[in-house]
Amino acid sequence: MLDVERGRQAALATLYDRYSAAVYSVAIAILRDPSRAQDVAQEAFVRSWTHAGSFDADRGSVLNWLLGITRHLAIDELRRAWRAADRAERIEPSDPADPELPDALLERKWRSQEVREALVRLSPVQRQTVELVYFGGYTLTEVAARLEIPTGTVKSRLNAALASLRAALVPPEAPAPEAQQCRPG
Amino acid sequence: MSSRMSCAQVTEHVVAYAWEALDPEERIAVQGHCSECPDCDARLAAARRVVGLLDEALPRVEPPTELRARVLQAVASSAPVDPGAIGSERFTASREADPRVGPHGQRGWRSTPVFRWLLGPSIPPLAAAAVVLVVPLLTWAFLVRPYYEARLSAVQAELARLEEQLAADERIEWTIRSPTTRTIALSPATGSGQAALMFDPERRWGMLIAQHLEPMPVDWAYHVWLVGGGQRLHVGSFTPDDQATGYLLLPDPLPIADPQRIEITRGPTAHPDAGELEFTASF
Repeated sequence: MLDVERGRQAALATLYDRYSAAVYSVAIAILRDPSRAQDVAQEAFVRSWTHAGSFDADRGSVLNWLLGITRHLAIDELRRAWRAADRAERIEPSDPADPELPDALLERKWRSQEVREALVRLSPVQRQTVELVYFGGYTLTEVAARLEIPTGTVKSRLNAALASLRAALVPPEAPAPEAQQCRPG
Repeated sequence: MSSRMSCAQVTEHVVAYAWEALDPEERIAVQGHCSECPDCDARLAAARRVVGLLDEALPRVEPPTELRARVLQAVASSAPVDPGAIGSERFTASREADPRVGPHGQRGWRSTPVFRWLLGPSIPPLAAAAVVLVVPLLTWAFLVRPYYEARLSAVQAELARLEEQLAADERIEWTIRSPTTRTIALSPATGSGQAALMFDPERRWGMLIAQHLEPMPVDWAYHVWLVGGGQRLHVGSFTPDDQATGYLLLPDPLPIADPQRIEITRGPTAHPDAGELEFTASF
């Protein structure tokens, strides 16, 4: 049993060393609070470890899975803090009338040139909606209320933004699954 | 929103789910549907992958060094969860919905109703002391220990699989991105199709990719061989997928220190030696 425990610890250390910066980066980008980001990063590793059996390689890489857990936990934490009116601040929507996002701002937010270019290609209102949801943790209903537009419009903007990002970032292999029909059954 | 959604409703919500923009009730309804519908589940996974690319592209911020010890300690005191017990939550697990997390964030057996009851203020001190001593011992002897012993082998296997996956991911990523990687086209000896080897001579990692492969009997496969130093060794086999494409990551380390040639044969899965030469190339 000691050997098993040592094996577990070594494997976890490997996982941590490889992905801790990525995990912490997602947590801090959303929470903007180092202390909360550390709590979330810790919880993300605990969750990934205790739920390791639920990882499915067909659905994406280990990193993608781990960051999905992290973002979910970070947004949960952000919303919990809002409900408790506890320090967390909501980001303000950018002005879609601004013709361009400053390059320096984009470079600070994204290290990948490919992602920066893909985001620049979004329409200003799509980008504004993505920012509120992705960095601000707003729900569809909250974005709709904040921007005074119907929920369906928010949904359409997010759908269009995702399709545009997919076209720019994912190599074309098969038709986008959103466009396919369900098998009857 | 009804707790049960149709495929059409889920399709409408799947992107918002991937962006984490649904209200909790809608989120649970989408999860419930996807756990039973492979098509919607595939849509969800594809949408999440795109959002995940943004996550991966965020600027890297190194966490404080003390976090490492905190994480290792926290994990050491946590227990693996049976995948079957968490249903469709394959990518996320809601803190609020997790019955294993106690009201103060405690995990595992400390958050069970029994333990919370033991800590309750209404238990007389003596009875509480007896229960605190006896119940954990009995629970350990008859429930916890057998459970963990039964789970240990499964956890070990899962760990080995994850480690293997991690190592393979790293090798693939390195091989694709390394500036020293060379792409070697394999010449077809018979039949049709294309094959290429991406090989990084520095790390000696290689990945073979073949496409437009011909269909073959179900019990056949493509077999990959390395030749050099007077040896010809079988290093793996692959079968084409439904797009007539196959790939194989060469073993690390290579079984032949200085391979001169790579060959792909096609033949029975059980008898790699009996295959016919399909592709070949020199290193």
